[in-house]
Amino acid sequence: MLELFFNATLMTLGLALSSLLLGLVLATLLALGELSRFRLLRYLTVSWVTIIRGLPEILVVFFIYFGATHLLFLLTDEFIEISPFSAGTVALSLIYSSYASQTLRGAFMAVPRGQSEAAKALGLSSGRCFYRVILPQAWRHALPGLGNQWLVLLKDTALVALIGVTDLLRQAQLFSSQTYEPFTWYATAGVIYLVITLISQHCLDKMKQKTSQHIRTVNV
Amino acid sequence: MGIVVESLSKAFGSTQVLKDISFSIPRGETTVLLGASGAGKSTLLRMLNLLETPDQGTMKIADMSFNFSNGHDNKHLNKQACALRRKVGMVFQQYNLWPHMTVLDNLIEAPVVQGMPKKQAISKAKELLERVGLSEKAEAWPSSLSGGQQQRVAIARALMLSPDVLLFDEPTAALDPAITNQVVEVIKELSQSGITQVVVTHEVEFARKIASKVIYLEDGHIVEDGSSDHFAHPQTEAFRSYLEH
Repeated sequence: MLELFFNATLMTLGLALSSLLLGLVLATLLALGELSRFRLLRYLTVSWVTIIRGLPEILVVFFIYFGATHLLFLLTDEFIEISPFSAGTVALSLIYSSYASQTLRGAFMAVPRGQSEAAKALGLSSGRCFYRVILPQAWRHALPGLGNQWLVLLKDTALVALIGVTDLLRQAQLFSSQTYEPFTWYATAGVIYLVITLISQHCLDKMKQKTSQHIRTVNV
Repeated sequence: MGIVVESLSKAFGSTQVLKDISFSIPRGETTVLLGASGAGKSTLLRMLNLLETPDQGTMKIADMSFNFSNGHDNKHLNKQACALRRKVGMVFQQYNLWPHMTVLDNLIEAPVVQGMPKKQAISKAKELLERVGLSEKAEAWPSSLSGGQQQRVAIARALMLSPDVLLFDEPTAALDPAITNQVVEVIKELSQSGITQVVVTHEVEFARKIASKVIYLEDGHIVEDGSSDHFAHPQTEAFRSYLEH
């Protein structure tokens, strides 16, 4: 039983972390899309983000899981099964990225224009400028918001139980129906979520310290 | 050859900011662009390293020529601008040091990307920091420095690429008068080394101390253009009254 619970915890963590990684990449692209010079791209990204943010999370999960299977069937005339894990990862990263993109957009705008102008004046390419000058500074502004959304994402993984992934909550549900001890198992699951949250917060604090090391340094 | 500009103009929307500007600056001169706010002097300065693109005119600077008269090709211009900026350094009013990098990293970032070996860049950076009197600050964060020190770091950063021309956009506007002298010293020292400097300012006292040549602008026109003698003997009524206020 312990082993199954451990596996379920790993499943929850795996889902959350892979959605986080994919979500961060997508969020950066969406934020850049919204700040783009090209009006069409701006409209498209804004509409996309609005749609995802306007739908209940569970609907997005269902859309991706059942919709993608159906779409592949229409396209290829074959029934290709998508694993619930990958469908869940994609759905969760879409949800995460649509919220995180707003945080990132704000963070990009919080970096003063003079910063990229100085890079330009020194002949740095715009890619290098983004990577070395803008991103590290925006990251500091974005970290608190992104950390918050990570905690939400962590608990949204429970939604994926509904498309058949055996995550922490699903495992607790299975055990409690076997043993008729719902309180024990749901409480255990709750404690594990809480521990992961506490560890995340600790890591986030460390990251915040690291990204703020250049602020208000004391002269010795 | 220094800088030669002919019939440069620029409009933002329907506002004509610069109208038919022509001047030339011999190599090694320290030229001050003076004028009230809104006269177009900052825009003019930013054109010299193509942070702004002129609508019309021609420009010769740092052995490169540009002709903006016949609808320029943006992609080509961007490439040229990148090359130009390596020969034309710029110092900003707000210093614009990168706060998340140490002073040393601020200095070596651009030259290392552009192919200078890191070791060489570091030794050059240390040399320049010594020249601006900040050799002990190499490992400091910009936020721990005073305004005057940050501005001197910014000057050192611009000098890392050994530019032919150095542009200053209101370099002392954010500094208190006592600190301004630190920047004056650095600019004077640089003018000994033969680099061409163009300084935008509205502080007449500061301008008098550094200028070997002065250009006075009003409403996007050049009103007066001459040697630093013009501070003592202004040729136009407009410049005379500007100096007196």
